[in-house]
Amino acid sequence: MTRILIASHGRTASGLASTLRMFVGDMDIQTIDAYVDGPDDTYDEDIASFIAGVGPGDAAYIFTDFYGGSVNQRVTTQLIGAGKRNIRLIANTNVPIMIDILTSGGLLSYEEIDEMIEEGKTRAVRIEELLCVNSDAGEDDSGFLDGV
Amino acid sequence: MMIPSLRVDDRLIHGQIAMVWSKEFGTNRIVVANDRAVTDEVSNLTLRMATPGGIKLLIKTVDDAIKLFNNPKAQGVDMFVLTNNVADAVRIVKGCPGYVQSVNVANVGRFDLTPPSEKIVINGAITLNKDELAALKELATLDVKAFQQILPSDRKTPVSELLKGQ
Repeated sequence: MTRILIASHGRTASGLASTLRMFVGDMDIQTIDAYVDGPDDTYDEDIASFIAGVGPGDAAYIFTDFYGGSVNQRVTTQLIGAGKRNIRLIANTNVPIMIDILTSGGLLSYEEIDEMIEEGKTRAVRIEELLCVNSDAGEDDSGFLDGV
Repeated sequence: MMIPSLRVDDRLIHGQIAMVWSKEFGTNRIVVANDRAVTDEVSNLTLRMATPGGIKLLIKTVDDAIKLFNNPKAQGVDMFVLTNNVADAVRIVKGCPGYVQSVNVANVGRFDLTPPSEKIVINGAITLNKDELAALKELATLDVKAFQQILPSDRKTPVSELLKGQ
């Protein structure tokens, strides 16, 4: 089974879950919207129960908002303590990477995840460049059929 | 060659297509069959933007797409095909018999300028003007699996079920 936890400061986690469901349908996604009720929100138990629920045959992913934040720190601390090798932690998460991972099935290797990160990384769109682009996508039949 | 899925989507390539469906069929070639997209620069641009890395994209008129599918050089290549209306999909199914393995009527008619009073709402994602309704009825008679399935995790609703009562 694939098990997913998204954890963030505030409501990004549940927001991301709602976005993802438009692409992956009704997947079971657990979320932690930390600190919504105040700075002394403790959510360690929620992290712990997610980790405890990951069985040896599962593929588990934890997505956090940013690497240096307290949410990611709390998650990392517990992951180190739990020592399960089938949980992947992805910090500085974004939507394309999450969709890519969630539609992949199985437990991805770090190399595979790194490729997805490269493909799905945040990008600053230069409109001027887009308008001048004469890319070969959409133009050439033989290029399209190449490699047959 | 095989077209595992011919998808009718009034937004052509967009988030769901790019991300989710290209994986589902394991083919890395997409053909958008749409007369307008060939010459409209902005459509052309947004389609290329929406195409994921590692996927080859061709934008063709419907006639040229049919020629491509029948081209001997295309044998051995599988392609995912998109049109933005049912009538174009019907032309393609008829124009290359046996090549289209399924037609997915996913999202239709939301940007159609026909006055609402002249359109029929089949469900939240499918609205049909008179011509499109006729095309959908014709699709139901053709020898090809035809259904609505927005996401791979959704159920496939057969076109015959969509047309009940029409």
